[in-house]
Amino acid sequence: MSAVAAIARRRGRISLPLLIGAGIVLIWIVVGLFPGLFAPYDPDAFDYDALLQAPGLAHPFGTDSFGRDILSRVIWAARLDIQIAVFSTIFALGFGTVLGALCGFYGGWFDAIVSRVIDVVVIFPFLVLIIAIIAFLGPGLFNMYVALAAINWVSYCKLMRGEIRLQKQLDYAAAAQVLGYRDLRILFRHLVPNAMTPIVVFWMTDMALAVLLGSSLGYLGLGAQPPEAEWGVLIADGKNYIETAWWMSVWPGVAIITLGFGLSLLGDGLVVYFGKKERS
Amino acid sequence: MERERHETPPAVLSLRDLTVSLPGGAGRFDIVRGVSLDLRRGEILGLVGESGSGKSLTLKAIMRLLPGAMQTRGSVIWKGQDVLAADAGTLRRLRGAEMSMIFQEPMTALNPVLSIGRQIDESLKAHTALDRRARHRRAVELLDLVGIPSAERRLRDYPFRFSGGMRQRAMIAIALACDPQLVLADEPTTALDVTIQDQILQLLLRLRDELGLSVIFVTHDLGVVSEICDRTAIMYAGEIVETGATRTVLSAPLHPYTQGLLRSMPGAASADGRLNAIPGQPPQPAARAPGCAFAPRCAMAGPACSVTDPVLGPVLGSVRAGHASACLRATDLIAEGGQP
Repeated sequence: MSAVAAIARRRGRISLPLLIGAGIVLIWIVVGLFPGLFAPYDPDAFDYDALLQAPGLAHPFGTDSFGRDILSRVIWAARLDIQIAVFSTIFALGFGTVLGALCGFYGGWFDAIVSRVIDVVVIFPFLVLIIAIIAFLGPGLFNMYVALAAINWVSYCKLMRGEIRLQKQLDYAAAAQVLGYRDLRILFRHLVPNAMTPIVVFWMTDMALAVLLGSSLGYLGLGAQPPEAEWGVLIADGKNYIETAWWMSVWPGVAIITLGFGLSLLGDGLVVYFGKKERS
Repeated sequence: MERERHETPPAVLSLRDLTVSLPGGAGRFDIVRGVSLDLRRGEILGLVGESGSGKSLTLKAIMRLLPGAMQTRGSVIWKGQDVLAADAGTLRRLRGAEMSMIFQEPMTALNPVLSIGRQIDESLKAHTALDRRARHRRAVELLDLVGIPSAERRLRDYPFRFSGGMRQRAMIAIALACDPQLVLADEPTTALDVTIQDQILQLLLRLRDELGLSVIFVTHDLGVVSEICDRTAIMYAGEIVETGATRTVLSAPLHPYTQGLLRSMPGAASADGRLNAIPGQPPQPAARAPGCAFAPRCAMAGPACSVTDPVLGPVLGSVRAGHASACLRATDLIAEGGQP
């Protein structure tokens, strides 16, 4: 009883991680939507009178080797990195969720085949597979989205499949069947909405990982291409100056960490809010 | 049961030799064995037995809700049509519109993410041609019918805002949305406390009278049975061992198992205040000995009982119409007075 009551009491609670996480993510979304309002300079404007300036009053985050204002570049990069967070995950989420729901609901040979495909995909190290696909398709953001959609659906598929297998054994699923509803209606109107909680929570974590991955690939020159401002690209720009101009790499790094941290906190907070125990 | 002496309306639902089997070590073994039943219009039939006796499986077999691994044989005739042979489309039309089911746990049988109104509406949408406003009127009418106050407002509420008893009422409202004639109730009052339990039973009785429902009521509670069931069938180890009018079965049982059940009720405790439990355990379906399944636990069992499989049939010497028992020594029970 106490465990049940504890979960019931926690359910619907706005916890501190949820507030902080949502706050951080919201700030970054606003910044990403309206970078012009926050950036003091044009992010691409060269200023040869202010090369590699240390952080100061005129340039709070300093300038890079072309005299571009780091703060402005970090702010404009937020737009791109939030886009990466969403686009790298949303297609995998859509496809994986639908496929996982069908597998969990129908089982049988269809499920068996999909499950084997998943097994094959997860055998490969994630990053190696992504890099291989991008290397094949050519570097760039669009190809990065394609590669992530092609690989990352397995996580959502596995999660949804397991959740639907659980949900379909509950009484309300039988009740829907007894009321004479069509299979697909039972699945997508009754079971899937009840199975979405872990998907949404995982999505938050996944977006945090996507930001890190997007930056890693940007750093490696496989994602966003310079001169486009992207946090990973900015860090890569600064790597040759790390001993003399640390601010070129550190500030975009801080930006990545805060957004990733915010998304993770948001995910944790949602777990509490939805009152579900975390599943691995 | 085919040899009823009284004029009775024809059965709307007939089970004949319904058998459910599971794959096991050596071949398949039966977990429901040759169940035959008739249900008439406006009748409430109690299906009584302990956990694992196959009573819920029987209900689920009628509704075709059993998982694929369980094989069903025999026939379930609903208004002249064999449900077990029905195709998916026919089954969809039957379910909800003609036959519906009430579950044991009102806490889990409602979809938590849809409001009660939406859940009623969905059933009406699936089975009737009513427009949106007519469906809304019908939904309000249904909540009124099952005694949920301020229906108009409650339709917008989600299940978690309902108490257990109210949820069970809401379940019944959803089940009755499209005017089914057959309601299968799987221990609908077991999860409720006693006062609410009584309210739900009264509600079912009233709905039966008002709507002419036929109900199969699965329970392990003989008190509930005596309150609402017209006829009763007692199940043991997947078989019906005794059936007849509820009053007859409960007052003059002709099967030692029924007698044991009655003796083990708290009201019939022995002088030292202990419950008279039936000794032993029901047999495992996979390891059934020949003969009567109850014989190993039966005080009356003779040598024949562990050899011959008894058949459910009228008992020689019983004056009650439709009273049938599957006991080789049923006649001896009459001689002994048939009283628990």
